[in-house]
Amino acid sequence: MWLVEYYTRPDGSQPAREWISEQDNSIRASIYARIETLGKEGLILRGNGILVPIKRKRKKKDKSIADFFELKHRGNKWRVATYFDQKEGKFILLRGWRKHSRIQIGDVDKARELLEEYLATKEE
Amino acid sequence: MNRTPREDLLEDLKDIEFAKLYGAESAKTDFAITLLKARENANLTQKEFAAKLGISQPYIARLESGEANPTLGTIGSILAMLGLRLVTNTASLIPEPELPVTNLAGSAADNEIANQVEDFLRQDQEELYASSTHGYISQKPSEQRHVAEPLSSYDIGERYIIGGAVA
Repeated sequence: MWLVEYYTRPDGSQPAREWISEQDNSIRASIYARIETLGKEGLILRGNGILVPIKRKRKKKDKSIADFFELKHRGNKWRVATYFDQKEGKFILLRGWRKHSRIQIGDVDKARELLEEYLATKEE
Repeated sequence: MNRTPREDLLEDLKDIEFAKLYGAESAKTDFAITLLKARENANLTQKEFAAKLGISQPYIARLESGEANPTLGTIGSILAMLGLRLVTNTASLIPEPELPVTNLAGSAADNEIANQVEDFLRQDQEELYASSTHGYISQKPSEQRHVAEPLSSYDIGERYIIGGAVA
């Protein structure tokens, strides 16, 4: 089993949890089913359509990005940005969103900001 | 107090309508992982497997990501192409308590215990080899290089004799 946690910001908020709680039952059920599977199977899910790597920004050097993923359901069009913290051996759920178009740069960028915040908080 | 996804799930499962939906999603995801592992064990790509089944590769991708909802009959047909059959079982819908794998290396004490167990098993196998008169074990366990790889990947000179017949 792998630990799966919501990211808690310095102000105490948990963006992923708040977003998930706003979703209807069917979406929430599919999100939690995948979170549970992530906890059971871990990185085996990588690349099979459930846990998909988020591509690195071309001009930005960010070593941590290798463990930055989208936990997703293509049919239900939801995404939850997830970071695998190798040192702690756990998955961190950063934030979620519904994908309404092919372009989701803003959503990924917000997740990336939270990831940078998480990593900075850990270094302190 | 900060909540965990597991705690939120347990709370949601008290709602019968949510529990039904979760059960359906959970079954699809469980089958997805089972199929993914079975296909990989058979050393088949999704494309090769789809060709064998006579269905499209995107459908295999949907099955393996838990997004398709196949009938039991379809599941049986798919598994048959891998030489497998479906074994049904049930488990609690309520997840087991989390026992995280946070330190793969283990403590020094854990490693010592693991080494002792490994030594014990190796000795056991060596004794079995020494007393074997039926040819069931043809190669000294400590010299074995392959244990669970598919037969198709073996070189001819490295095949083992299992049960008296060349595998």
